[in-house]
This record gives sequence, structure tokens and C-alpha cells, in this order.
Amino acid sequence: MKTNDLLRTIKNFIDTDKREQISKYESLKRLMKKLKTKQNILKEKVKNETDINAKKGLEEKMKVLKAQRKKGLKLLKELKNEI
Amino acid sequence: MIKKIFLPTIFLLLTYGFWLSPDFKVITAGIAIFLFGMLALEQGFNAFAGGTLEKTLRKSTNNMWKSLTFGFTAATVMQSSSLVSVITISFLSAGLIGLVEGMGIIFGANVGSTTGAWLIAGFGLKVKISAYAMPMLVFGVIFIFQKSKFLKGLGYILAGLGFLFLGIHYMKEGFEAFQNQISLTDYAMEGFGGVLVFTLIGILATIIMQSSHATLVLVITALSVHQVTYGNALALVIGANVGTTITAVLGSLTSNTDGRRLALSDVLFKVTAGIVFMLAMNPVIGLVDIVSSTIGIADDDYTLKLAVFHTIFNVTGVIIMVPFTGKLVSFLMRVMPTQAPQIEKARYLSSASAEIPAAAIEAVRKETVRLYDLSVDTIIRGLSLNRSVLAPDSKVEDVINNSSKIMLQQDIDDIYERRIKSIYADIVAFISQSQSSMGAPDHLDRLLQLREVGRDLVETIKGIKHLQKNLNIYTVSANPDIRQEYNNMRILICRVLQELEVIRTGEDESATILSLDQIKVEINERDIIKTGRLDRLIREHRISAPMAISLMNDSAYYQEICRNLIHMGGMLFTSSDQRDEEAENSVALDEVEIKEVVDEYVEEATK
Repeated sequence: MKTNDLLRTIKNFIDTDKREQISKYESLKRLMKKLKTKQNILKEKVKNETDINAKKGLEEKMKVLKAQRKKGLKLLKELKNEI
Repeated sequence: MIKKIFLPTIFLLLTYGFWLSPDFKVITAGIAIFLFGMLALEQGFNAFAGGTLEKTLRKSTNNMWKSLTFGFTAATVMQSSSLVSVITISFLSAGLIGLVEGMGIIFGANVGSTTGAWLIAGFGLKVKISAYAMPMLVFGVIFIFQKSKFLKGLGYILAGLGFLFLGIHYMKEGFEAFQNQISLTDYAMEGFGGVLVFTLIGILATIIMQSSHATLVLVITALSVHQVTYGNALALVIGANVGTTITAVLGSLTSNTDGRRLALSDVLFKVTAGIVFMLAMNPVIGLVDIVSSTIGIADDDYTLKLAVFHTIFNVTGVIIMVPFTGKLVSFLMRVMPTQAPQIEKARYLSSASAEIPAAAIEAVRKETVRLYDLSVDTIIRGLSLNRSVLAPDSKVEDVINNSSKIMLQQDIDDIYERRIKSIYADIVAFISQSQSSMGAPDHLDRLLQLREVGRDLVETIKGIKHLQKNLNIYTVSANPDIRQEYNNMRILICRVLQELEVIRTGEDESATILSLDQIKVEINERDIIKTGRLDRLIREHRISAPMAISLMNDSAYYQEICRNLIHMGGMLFTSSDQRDEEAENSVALDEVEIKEVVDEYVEEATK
């Protein structure tokens, strides 16, 4: 490990606030990944659904998921900048 | 097993009895009408509970002498101690008076009833209050139809009294066939055996004729034609006094434990006095002679002597019983303990765990989940559905739209008191107790969050209670539009619960509290007012104005129910990892964002 990297790791370890921010970031990132997978599954379902009403319902779900992801990604960006 | 076959057996026996004897039919119908009268009377007095009647009763019975005087006066005016006993039982059942006051009234009424013997013996007069039964019923029912609570209550009291008299009348009629078969000369006997036999005959005759006055008339007549000896006649009077308690016993069948205790105290009063008098018959005869000669009654005027005996009997009874009232009350409490209502108690909250933060949180969480389970049962039944509708693979819409059955209405107030409130109260108390031992602020926050969950559940149950009334009417309505609107409410509430179940079990990893956002959108989308659907339904005359008002009110209730459930679920079924929970909460959509999604969707749909 280079000296600078080592120093940063030590600094991060000592700085509790920062450590918390990193942990928050990691959790959010994990969640975003989960939501992305869910979105892909939903996309596939919408494609294969033949019943109009069911398709409508799935599309609605997609909209909500997109809005959640949009919000999450914005937060993720903010957290990254803070770290 | 016995419980299951008890009712069918009673029905079978009664049916057999009806087939066997028309008199039996009249007697049992009389008892049924009498009991119905008791119920009406109680309902009537309930209407006055907490008002002037209660105050007046309290004032007139706040010590033993006042109670005795009250009972004495009432029985003298009504000329029936049984009726006073029955009314006192209904006072007691309605919570207007206490057991001791009730006992005072009944004891006083027993003395008051002796005035009847004087009237019969002295003037041959018989006050027949039963003649008022029919007018009482007519006036009572007219009053029941009135809107005023006071008149309604009065109506129930009048109708109740009318039914009581009518019931007694039918019982008497039914027994008339047996009455003619009672010939006192057949049993003439001397000594203690005679006293015993004639007391039993007196009891039997009074039960049959449903009136101690009627027995007294019979005894006086028999005595005047020398059908019975003087000694046997006195035993008959003892029997009449004991037998008259049957009315109070019958009356107590529909009452609460206090009413039954009062009926038992009446029986004990009469039986104790009866035994004392049976054992001391000779000294009592001597006492009657002394009293009679003191007040100027001729030695051979047995009918008036009978009235003296009747009075001494009841006054002695009061003298014997009043000093032991306190002991009698504790005896009655022991013999007939109050049946405590089955109240659910907390299972996981122990005082030991209150001291350890992690244990306390886990205990509260488990208890809150239990509270949630009980609440879901109540909600589902309130929606006239079974819990199976919440299975993950269940098609809620199909189940609800195809169900046209309304389940037997549950008493949500009772369930709330017995199951929900009691547990929630335990949770609140436990949280208050363990707050001081919570070191970290996070722990305290979690506890307070769980307390909030309980409050949401309580609010939900209250919402269901409001919703239930119209739901039961409109989900089986012939109008398809209103039916569908109410079914939509049921569907969305079930969808929330179904989603919560999925999140709770954790079987579907993708199901988190974020899944609830989808339902929030649906609730907004289906809002009957915002979407203009309500106006359209009224404009097209598809629903009436009262239906529209019900829909407006109930739509607010159901939305509140859903919101409370979602809010609660977000706190109760969070991720086990605190960081993950925080992440989920930060991504969950707020009201404004939900509205944006809805608007966007509506816009696309209109395009």
C-alpha cells in the first residue's frame, strides 16, 4: 500500500463521522443494486404479460421503482461527494 | 362436548313437552315472556343510568334504613314483593345500585308485602296490578318508537313491566290445571311433620300460582271453612313466603352476577326465616297470640292472626338478616365470584427484561407483533373475510369481488377492550418502566417507535369499527356501483395487509417496506373524490346522495386505515440491519413524490 493510501485508510478509521458516512453509502449502494435487479425482473414480466390489467399494474410498479431508484441514486451521489 | 349437545337437548326436551301438554306450552311461553320482560326492563333502566334516576336511587338507598324504607314503600304501593325484587335486580344489573342497597330494598319489600295480607284478611281486598299489563305494553311500545332517549327508556320499562305481568299471567294460566288438584284436607297433619309438609305445599302452591297473595287467599279461605288447622295454615304461609322467591330467581336468570347474588340473598332471607319459624312454631304461635290480643284481635279471628304471623315472619327475617348483611355479602361473593372477562395479557414482557436494553426491545417487538396479529384478525373479520385471503398467492380482488357473504358482525368495542387495549396498555407500561435503563438514544428511539406502532394499530381498529357499519350494508347492496366502491376499499386494505405479511415473513427478499410505496400510489390513484369518480356517480344517478355521503366519509376512514398500517409496517417490519433500514427509509417516497408518480401516470394514461 502506498503511503498516501495508508494515511487515508488510517484517517478514515479514526474519523467516526466519515466511517458512518461510508457505511451509509455502502448500504445504499447495496439497496440500489437490489432495486436494479428487481427492476430488471419487472421489465421482463411486463414484456411477457398478456393480460392488459396485469400489465398496467406491473407498469405502475415500474414507475414507483424508477422513482425510488432516482431518489436513491441522487442520495448516493450526494454521499459520494461528502466522502 | 356437553356444551355442544346442551342446547339441542334443551330444544328436543321442550319440543317433546310442547307435543305432550298444551299447559306446558303455556307455562314455558309465560317464562319466556317473563324473561323477555326482564331484558326490556334492564334496557329501560340502562337508558337512565348516569342520570336523575341513579341520583334519586342513590339518595334513597344510601343507608340500610333508607333501603328498607324504600323497599317497604315500593312493595306496599305495588302490592308485590316479587315485582319489587325483580325491578331491584334489574337496577342492580344496570349498575344503578349496589348489592347491599339491593338487599336492603328486597328485605324492606318483604316487610312491605305483609300489608297485602292485612288488606286481604281485613277487607278481603286484592289489588290486581296484572290488569295493567296490556295498557303498559301498548304505551310502552308507542314510547319505544319515539326518538327521545328518555321516552324510549320509559317505553322499555313500561313494556318490560307489561311483559313481566303477561308472563306471570300465562304461567298462572298454565298452572291452573294443576291448581284445582290441590286439596289441602288430604294432607292434614299435626306436629313437625305437618309443618314440614304444609310448608312444602305452600312453596309448591306459590310457585304454581306465581303469587304469595294468591296462596294467602287460598289459605284464608281454607282456614275459614276449616279445611286446614291453624297450625298448618301458618306453615302454608311460611311456604308461600319461601315460594315467592321463585320470581326473583327467574328474574335473575338474565341478569349479571350481582343480580344473581341478590336473588340468592332473597332466597336465603326467606329460607332462614322459614327454618327458624318451622323449628320454633309453638313459641311463635304464642307470640302471635300475645301480639293479636295486644292490638285487639279476637282469639278466633284466625285470618287476622295469619296477617300478624305473616308480618312477624318478615320483620323477624329482617331483624335476623340485617346485622349479618356484611357477612352475607362476603358469603355471596365467595359462592358466586364475579366472572372476570377473558382479557388478553402480554406474553413476552417480564420485569426482568426491562432492565436489559436489548432484551427489552426484543420483548416489546415480539409483543407488538402479537398485537399486530390480533389486530389483523379483527380487521379481516371486520371486512367479512377470512385470514386465508392474505396468503401471498391469494388473488384478493377475485376473492372480494366474488364474495357476497357478510359474516356475523363482531363486537369491535369488546374485542378492542379485551384483546387490543389490554396488551397495548401492558406495552405502554413496560416501555415507560424500561425507558430509564435505555443507555443509547437509538434504543430509546426504537422503543418509542414500537409504541407508535401500537397506536397506529389501535387507530386502525377504530377506523375498521367506523367502516364496518356501511361496509356490511353496501357490500351486499343491489346497486353494483356502491358495492364495487366498498369492495375496492376492502381490496386495498387487504392488499396492504398482504404486502405486510410478505415483508414480515421475509420469504421474498425483494419485498421490503419500499414495496408499500406501490400501494400508496394505488390509494392516491383510486381516490374517489380526487379522481372525480364520486361526482360522476352522482351526476349519472348511479348512487343516491346518502350513498355518496357514506362513500365520502368511509373513503376517508379506509385511507386512514391504510396509511396507519403502512406507517406501522414501516416501523415494525424493518430490516434487521440498522443501516439497511436507514437506506430503505431514505429511498421510500414521501407524499409529494407519490403525487408526482400518480400525476405522471395519469398524464401518460390520458395521452
